[in-house]
Amino acid sequence: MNEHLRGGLLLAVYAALTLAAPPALDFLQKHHLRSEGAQAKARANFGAVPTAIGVAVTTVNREVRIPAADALLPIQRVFRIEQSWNFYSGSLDQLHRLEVWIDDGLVYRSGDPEYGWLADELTSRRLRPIVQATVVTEGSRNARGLARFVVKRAREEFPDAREVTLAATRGDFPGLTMETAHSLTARGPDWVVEPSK
Amino acid sequence: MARLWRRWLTWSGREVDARPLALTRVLLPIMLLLDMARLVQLGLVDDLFRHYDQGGINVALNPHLWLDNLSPMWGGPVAVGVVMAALACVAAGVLYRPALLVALVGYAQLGHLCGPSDRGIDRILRTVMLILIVSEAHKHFSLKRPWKDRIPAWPQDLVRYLLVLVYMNSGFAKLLGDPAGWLGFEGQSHLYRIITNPVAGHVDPVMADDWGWVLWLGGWFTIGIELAAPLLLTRHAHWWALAGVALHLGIAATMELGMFSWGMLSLYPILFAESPWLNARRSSASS
Repeated sequence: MNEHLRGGLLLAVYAALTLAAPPALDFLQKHHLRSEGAQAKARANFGAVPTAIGVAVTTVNREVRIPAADALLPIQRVFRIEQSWNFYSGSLDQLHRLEVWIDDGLVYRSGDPEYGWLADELTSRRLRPIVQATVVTEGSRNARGLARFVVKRAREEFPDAREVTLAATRGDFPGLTMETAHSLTARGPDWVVEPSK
Repeated sequence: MARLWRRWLTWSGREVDARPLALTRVLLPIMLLLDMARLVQLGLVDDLFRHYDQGGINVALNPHLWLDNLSPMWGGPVAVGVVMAALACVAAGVLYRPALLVALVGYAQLGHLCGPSDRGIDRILRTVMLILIVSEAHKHFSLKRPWKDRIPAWPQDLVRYLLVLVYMNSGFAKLLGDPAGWLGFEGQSHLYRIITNPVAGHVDPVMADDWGWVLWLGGWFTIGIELAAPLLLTRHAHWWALAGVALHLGIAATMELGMFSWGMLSLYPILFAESPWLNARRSSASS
């Protein structure tokens, strides 16, 4: 390949990567320091000069960088390589666990080796995010699919089971006292998954 | 300006030791293969890679998904097999570019098919795969001989730059998101809450509560490492990489993130490319 063409293409790729996910700027919300009120608050907290710099940076980010990054998104989505890398910026305020009850017996509890039925599956890296969404948010969109999966496995392993319940429990760290936040139950013979009463 | 351009062309056109990038080309598909083999072993392929209407878990439809149109029932499971075969070819260095393209497109389609289970590590590895397609990483450690000792440096430089962005973004997100939760020294740190939450970590929350100060230090270490990532663009990259290895081993030991750490570490051979250790062994081997 012609060295000038290669050099130009490479520069374009570096620019695209930088525009798509510039450190710090990518974390800022579009509306950051946009309103007069937000700018006045920043001036009171940090002074006039730092706020002016912040407003300039966030304006360029909002008006130039974000539209340019958005233009790159269609290409990224084909290969599912959206460049956004804000890993673990925070944590959950409360501790959450999933419990699986078959009839009246507890068979699985997140992080509890004494109740480890289906633990390998429920903690596997591709299922874990669905488990987390299910226990953190009531009515999360894949909760029924997860419940149906657990019921299927329960019926295979416990053919006499009459009822399977997935209960999301939560409590303050370190989790000595937990309470049920929401739950889903399926009963034989039709095994339809419904929110527990 | 012309001199600057010439310097850029010289730098980006240079050649480097082929082994680090070739090793990444071998390790990355092996990590993905093991990750998928684990899904097969657990019998999760049908549940994850079929839509809810076909008995799977995920209900969300993705506009970029076409695999499902080929066969809603078998598109996902067949794609897993095809991607695994393609990854084996990539690791072996045979049919390299077609195999890597098939693996990349199939892997992306599996991500579209079950979006919630497709994580940041998958996006990072796919981005690297896209870079590897146009590299000469298959010219060493491959079933095909003869091997080349030197290959163009620019794919390796791009992967390094990508890692700088990944780590720095993560560091700034922590710092700007909640500095007190990461850098303060009161109450429970974010690191404590992350590694003790039973749906993501596997550290006992009661036991770790007594070791809160260690986790505060761990949080500082994490942010320090992430913000120091520009060192990867210098000849001191290998020192940063040692700390990065420690970071990822710590994550692997305390969290349930599957192949996340191992996938990231599969990219690390290129961070040791200029290390005196690698080059000392090479010099002694050639003398």
